[in-house]
Amino acid sequence: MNYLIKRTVSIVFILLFVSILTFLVFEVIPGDPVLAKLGIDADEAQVEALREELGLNRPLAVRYASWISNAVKGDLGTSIRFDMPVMDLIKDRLGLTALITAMSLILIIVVGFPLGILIARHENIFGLGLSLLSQVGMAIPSFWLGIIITSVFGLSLKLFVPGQYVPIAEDPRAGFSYLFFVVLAIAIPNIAVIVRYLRDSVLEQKGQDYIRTARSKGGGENYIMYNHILRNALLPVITVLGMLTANVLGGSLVVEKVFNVPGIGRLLIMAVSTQDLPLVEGIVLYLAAIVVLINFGVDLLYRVIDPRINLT
Amino acid sequence: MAILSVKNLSISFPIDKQYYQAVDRISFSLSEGKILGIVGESGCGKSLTALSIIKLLPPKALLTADQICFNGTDILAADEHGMRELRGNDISMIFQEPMTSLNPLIKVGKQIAETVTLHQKTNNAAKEALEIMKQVGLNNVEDIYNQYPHQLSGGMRQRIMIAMAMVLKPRLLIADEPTTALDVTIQAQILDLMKQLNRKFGTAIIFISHDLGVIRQMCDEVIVMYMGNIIEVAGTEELLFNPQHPYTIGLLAAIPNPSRKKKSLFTIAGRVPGITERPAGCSFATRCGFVTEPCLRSKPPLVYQQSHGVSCFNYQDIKREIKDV
Repeated sequence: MNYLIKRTVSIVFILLFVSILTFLVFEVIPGDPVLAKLGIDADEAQVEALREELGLNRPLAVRYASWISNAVKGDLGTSIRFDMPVMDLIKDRLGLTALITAMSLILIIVVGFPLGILIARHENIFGLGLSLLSQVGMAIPSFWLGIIITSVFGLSLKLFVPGQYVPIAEDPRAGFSYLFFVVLAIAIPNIAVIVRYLRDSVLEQKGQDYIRTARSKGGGENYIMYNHILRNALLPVITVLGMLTANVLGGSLVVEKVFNVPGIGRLLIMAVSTQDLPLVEGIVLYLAAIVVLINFGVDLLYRVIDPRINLT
Repeated sequence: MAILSVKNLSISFPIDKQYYQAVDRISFSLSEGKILGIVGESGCGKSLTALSIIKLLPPKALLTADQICFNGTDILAADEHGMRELRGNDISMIFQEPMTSLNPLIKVGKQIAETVTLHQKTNNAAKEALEIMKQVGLNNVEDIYNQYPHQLSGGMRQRIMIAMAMVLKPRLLIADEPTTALDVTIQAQILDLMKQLNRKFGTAIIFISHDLGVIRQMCDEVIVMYMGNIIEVAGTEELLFNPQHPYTIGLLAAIPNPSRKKKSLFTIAGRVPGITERPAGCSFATRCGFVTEPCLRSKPPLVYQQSHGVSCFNYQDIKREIKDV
């Protein structure tokens, strides 16, 4: 119980810190949201009026205080650019990004775990080859992979039409197959990371004393792998998986732009480029909350699996 | 009748593409229900010898022998499948460090029951586990069954290890320094327990230790190993009170004696040579105070007088010399 309280408090502080940081960053970077909205030809009076209306003339601390007090009540303010509540804008697009993230994580688990075990089991030239391949995979950035996938599967093989995302609501088949390639670009570097970690983790556990004990009891290779090694080897990998979630989410933001998918990533990039502070704050807060909560979930899971860690 | 007989067992390891012998053509046998001690310094090959009997040597090790015969089974010829049937069932092993030798994520009772389910199709594995847990002197066995290794004390963990090894009443138990990591009081309890199980179930034990005091408490017969060779073998009392080999004599002299408090402790001069720098002749020649010319040329054979074997060219002279002093 004690642990849960501590964790909750720390989550609140993390989110507060993230929101303050975003505000401060916006003070520093050049540009003016009012000019971005009205255009550089707007006359002085118009600009002043809008500034007054948005409350941009107030000091930074006052603006933050009023924003945070509204945010706590569930009101993230109004987008300068779209003249719409930030909440509505995010809600419209968060689903798609969440779907892409979830699909990526599933792909990472489904492909990464068996592959990692496979490599760990074959300490020969085959394992070495796959191991090298995963090293390369880790070094590839998702957006570059997105461009390559677009070029190979989209332009050459014509498996999808680049830039033409069909909403799942309209045509589930076309929508999902388009998203599959998006997910591929996000997942591959992360699969490489998982493979790497799992391989090292399995090999480390293989040399432990309790494995020798299991063999002295008459356990076979397969039996020991699945009943003794994997359980222990997966523990650190679960932590890594939690951290990768942030990676995947971040990858999704960039790759959405490459594939022209109307998720939250595109919205965020647009919001940043038009200095739409309320929208950026809202999105960043949402993303931070997702990452923090998933890591919290992973931590809880860890505590359930590993009897050595107490919940208190 | 001998339950285990080993002839000319060698174990070697490749270092820089050359094989070096960690255990060098040793032979010994163990009678049914007896306790055989193997004593020696770290790296003398005693643990490797034990692991070779259940063929759990590190993958790089090269094992050769004329014979390893357990209870009529040719271990040397047995494949991995055959060995798996023996391990845990007919031959069990317990290790030095009970904390790391247990799987940290599995309840200890389950780990004991696992030995049963690996060898028998039965629904009674848990019951058998609880039964053996009582036999190894654990109380509240139902509670302990559901605990994890980190929740138990070192002594309890070693009892769990012993229960795990003994649950199927094996014919042979190999104990590799089972009490080295324990407190002295716990150590005595565990030794007691092993003796008790040896008597109750007639399980023969190979007891590996570097502690002659422990060996004396436990064993019927003792093998003294030095650098991969058996340098002396005899009944426990005979070995302790009538040692023949200068190394054994030195080992016994190095045991602290409370009645000679003022004197400084005896030590054997020099150090054990590394595996790559082993001498051609007697392995102990580099540290022996009685070394003669033949010792440097060839390896002394293990010569028996009745059941007392010693591998030394000069043991009779040495005996005389020590008496004279």
